[in-house]
Amino acid sequence: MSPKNDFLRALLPVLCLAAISLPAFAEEDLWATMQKTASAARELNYQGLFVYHNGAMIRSVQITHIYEGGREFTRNVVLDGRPREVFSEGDDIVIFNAKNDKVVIEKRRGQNLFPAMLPTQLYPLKQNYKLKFVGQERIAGRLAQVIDMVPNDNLRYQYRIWSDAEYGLLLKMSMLDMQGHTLEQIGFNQVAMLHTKDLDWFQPKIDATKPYVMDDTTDLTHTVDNLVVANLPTGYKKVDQIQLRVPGRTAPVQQLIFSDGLASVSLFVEPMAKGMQPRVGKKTMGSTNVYAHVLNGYQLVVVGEVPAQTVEQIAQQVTFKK
Amino acid sequence: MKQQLSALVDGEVDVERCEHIFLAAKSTGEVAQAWRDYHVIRDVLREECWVESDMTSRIMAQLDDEPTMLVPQAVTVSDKVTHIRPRFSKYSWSIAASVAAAFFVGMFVLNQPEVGAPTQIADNDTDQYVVAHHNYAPNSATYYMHNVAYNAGE
Repeated sequence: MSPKNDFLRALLPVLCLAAISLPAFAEEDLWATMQKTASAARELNYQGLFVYHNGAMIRSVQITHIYEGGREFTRNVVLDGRPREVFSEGDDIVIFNAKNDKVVIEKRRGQNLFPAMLPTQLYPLKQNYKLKFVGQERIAGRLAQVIDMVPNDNLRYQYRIWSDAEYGLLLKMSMLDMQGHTLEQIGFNQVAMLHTKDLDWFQPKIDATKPYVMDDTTDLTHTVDNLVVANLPTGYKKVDQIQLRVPGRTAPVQQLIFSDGLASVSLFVEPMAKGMQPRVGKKTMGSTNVYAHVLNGYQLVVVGEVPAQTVEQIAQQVTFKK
Repeated sequence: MKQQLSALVDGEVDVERCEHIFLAAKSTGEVAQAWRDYHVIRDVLREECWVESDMTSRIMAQLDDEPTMLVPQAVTVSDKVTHIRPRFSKYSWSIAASVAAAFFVGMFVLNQPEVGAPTQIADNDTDQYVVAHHNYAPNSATYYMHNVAYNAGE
């Protein structure tokens, strides 16, 4: 037996091992990790502190999350800037927002609040992103699997996610532009699993000295009109349409919301009233792009955490049915 | 439903059921209106101070039509009411005082005439739209902040 054969024989188990462990990085397995990550944020009980960065803006948020009897309860306390508490139960979100001499209660529709950023239905994401295993990193004292979500086209940004190697909880997520610069980032500084189902914490801190007022200027019911967006950018679908009642305006402002499963874009449509200054042009603010123009006597404004090309394409595709 | 509302407003609902927080969010139209109405009624009953508004006068008119609304109902929703927690009832939630909440007031009010180059929107020209986008689009990360424009609307 030649030394060369010996070498190959010794190498064989290593090769086999490599062959076995390779599928762990295959895309289908990465999608399984994504699915676990999407579920973990909703089904685990945890408490922690996370930080949101967007350009120069930094916000620390304390989160408590409990999944009990099929219901999900979350309390987010924003620790920087204006006092703000965000409560959610399932898709219902109520915000207690201190503003000068009063506290405004705002209600919202279901949103993917961190760490539940990934939708539980991954199908739309699979159409628009490829996964790439990056490696392992330690985040907030936990070992994380790092996965890149690489877009199939330039109509959306790239994302990187850090998923807890043990629990699957999303520990961190960042959004990157085409050049790989981080546009925004959100991640835990510390996080711990909770072993209680107590809901004592699920209530706002009431300031007895301030009046509480309800913000009810938004009509969250679906509306229909003659608006058509013919060719949406690939992978984007209309997910909602609401109308905003704006004091001092005669007509409500329509807000259409589009999403590719992760990124979202709003299209605002309002009739040009007499004396209204038309807005035409574009703007980039960090990860947010804006495109405005006027069509058939309507002011259109498109806003989204997507590349400039995407907001422009949506704005150009709006037509009005006769 | 109105009995539940009454209980909610009077703080007789178990906090752990969380309904007091979410009733307003879950309900629309009549129920949401009733929820606010009850706060006004309760404040009136307690002779608490509140600011006169169109809404409160409308409610006073309603009270004439519906005197029964003023009678505190025995709480019948036994599964929801486990014990009295006065935590919320202690405080005056003068919701009706400014139901026409200022949040969106001025939000879309037109700014100064555009002066920038036609291809570049002026700095704060579209901020209101950006805030509305962040508030209602299902993108969470932008959710914890408020742009400067939020202040501008006040």
